[in-house]
Amino acid sequence: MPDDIYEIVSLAARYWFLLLMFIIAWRSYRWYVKDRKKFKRRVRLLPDAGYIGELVVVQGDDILKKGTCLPVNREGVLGYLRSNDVCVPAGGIANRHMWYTFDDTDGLRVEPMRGRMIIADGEELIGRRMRAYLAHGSTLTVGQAKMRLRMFSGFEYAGETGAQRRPLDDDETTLPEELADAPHSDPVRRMHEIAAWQTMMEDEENEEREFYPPEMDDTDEEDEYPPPADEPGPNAYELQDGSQVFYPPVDDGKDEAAIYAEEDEAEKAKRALWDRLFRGGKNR
Amino acid sequence: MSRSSRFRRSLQSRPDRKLVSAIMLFFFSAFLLIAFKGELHWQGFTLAAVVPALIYIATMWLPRFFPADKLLLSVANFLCALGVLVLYSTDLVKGTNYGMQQAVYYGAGILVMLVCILLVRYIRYWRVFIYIIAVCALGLIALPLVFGTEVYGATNWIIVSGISLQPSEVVKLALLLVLSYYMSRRRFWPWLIFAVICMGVLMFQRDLGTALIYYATALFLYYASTGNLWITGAGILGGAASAVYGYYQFAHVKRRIAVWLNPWMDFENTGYQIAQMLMAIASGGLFGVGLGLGFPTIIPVYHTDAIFAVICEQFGIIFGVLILIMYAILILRGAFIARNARRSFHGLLAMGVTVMLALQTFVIIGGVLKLIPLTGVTMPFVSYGGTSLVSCMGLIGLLQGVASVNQDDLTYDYEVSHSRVDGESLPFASLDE
Repeated sequence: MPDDIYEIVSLAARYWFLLLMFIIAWRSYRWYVKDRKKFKRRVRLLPDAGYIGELVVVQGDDILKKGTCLPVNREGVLGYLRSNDVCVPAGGIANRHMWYTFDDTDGLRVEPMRGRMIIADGEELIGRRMRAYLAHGSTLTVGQAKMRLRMFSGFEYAGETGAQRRPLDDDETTLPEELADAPHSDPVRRMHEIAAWQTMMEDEENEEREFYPPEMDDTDEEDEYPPPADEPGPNAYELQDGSQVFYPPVDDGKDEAAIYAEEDEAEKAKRALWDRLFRGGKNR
Repeated sequence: MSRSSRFRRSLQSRPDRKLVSAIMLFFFSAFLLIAFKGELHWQGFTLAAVVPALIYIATMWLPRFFPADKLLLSVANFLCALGVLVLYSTDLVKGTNYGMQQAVYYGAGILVMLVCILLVRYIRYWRVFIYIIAVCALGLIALPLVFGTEVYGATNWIIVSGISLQPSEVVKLALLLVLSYYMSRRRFWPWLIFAVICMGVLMFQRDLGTALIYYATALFLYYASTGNLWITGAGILGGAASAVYGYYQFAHVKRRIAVWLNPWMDFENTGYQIAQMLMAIASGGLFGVGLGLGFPTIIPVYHTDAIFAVICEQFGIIFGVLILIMYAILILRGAFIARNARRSFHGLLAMGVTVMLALQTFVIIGGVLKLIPLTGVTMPFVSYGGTSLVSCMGLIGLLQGVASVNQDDLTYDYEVSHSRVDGESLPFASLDE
């Protein structure tokens, strides 16, 4: 094409290119905005999105109360600091204590940090090269906190090590009659089973029944809590229906307690200052 | 239903088809136009067929094999193809062969992107890989110290059997992987040592623009992973202090600042490039001088640093603004992917890629527009340079891998919480539809 004709064509074509560019930019923008809205709508339908389960504290201390639920995402760090993915503010826990990741087939893989110790299903793990897999119902002891992993619906089948998948027996649940013959994978039946399992978790007496397979129920002898019912301590309190409730023993030695409290306060203040200054605790 | 109405309906329901068809039409018509300039250019006809085909393969065909973010792919491929187009249009004036070479690099970039997607998708435990990657990256970035060739004052090139490579571009990928791996595990020293060695080597090679991008990316990722304002603020102050120190210590930094402040002061020598870039943008006006016309090759290093000025001259300032919007969409999409990642490693990786691309775009386009002093980094996806293009496609591959894993996770969540309850199948096959 001769240069003068090419020039005319090219000058005309620049409007065509600009129009196409407008279309491209506009369509990209619309796509981006619509997709974001659609994504938000979908995520709203999934309240547990991003979390695979929670760690239920079965034995804690003054700060970390028993029964607290700590949501667990797919991968992260567990430790004392608030900047961690799972913050466990109990004694004996390092700032960054353990790394974990969720594996679709094996369950929640846990690895302690260098020089840290955790107990996963009774197995002691020390140091970075050790690892274990937790499944639905596995216990995890980190410092003074003892927790049990509860995986959300759909994830409870992950993991064949640790606490093996074991559907509840019919006599352990309060299944409606129409669900008695339903397979264990039935969602409604599963929902009932999980609800029953939660009730058992909260119920002290039921914990004494062998709910978990005996080889998995490896609670330490020293850690046994509450104390056996046949030796009611001074803190046993009898309810109207005859059942007993136990409270942790109260130390009456006030001087000693005051000293501990002061030390705790000083330690806590120091830690808070350190967090705020260097660990990003304040800005979390 | 008639065939045309069926076609219209299929476009309405598929934003990916709408966008990709517009992009393919753009490049087909543009290369066809250039092919008719002067005598017939068979290379132009070839590119008119090959570039839209590459775009189709990368945006529509590859996502059939795994869930992918087609918007991100479309925008990135559009920018790559734009680079090929602009370089080819200047080839006809100057007699170089940058356009065809860039097209080959673009094809190679698609392969590298595929490899990166697969890496992020299928590698679950990165520890061993990270060790290998870190050692290789340190070796690679130190290579120019031994076999380096000096280009525009920086000794950051190595030439292997006629092919020139810029190791700092490849090490970008390694830097992001190492930073996000150790930051996701809340370990401080390994990534810091790695980043400091990389930046020290870059400073030694006087590749200050890349060192700046490495530094800012590391700092931003640190803030993203810990939320610690104190150390991040100290890092920003340290960066500013070292910039001031560099200003007083190095003569060429001082000269660049002076040229930036007033390029007309020494128009014939040091200010020549900036002045030519500004004149090119001004001569383009709102609508440009036309594809293949104008005098873009007068600008020194028009094919790498100043390519945005060439685009503005040929297509106009409005087009330039729309290109910036495309970059903005790319960056917003990257941030969206990073925010929705389920694993902190993936989140940090996606955020790092996004920040790196954003910084690089800002540094070079700001430099061309005389907003900030010009530093020699490439314009992502568009500038001439095989290593740069391939590494940018690698970055997009990492981002795409994270997006793909996100999509899998979301689908899984949806499956376990909804489809079992009411027995319906998934209402969506992929995020993009």
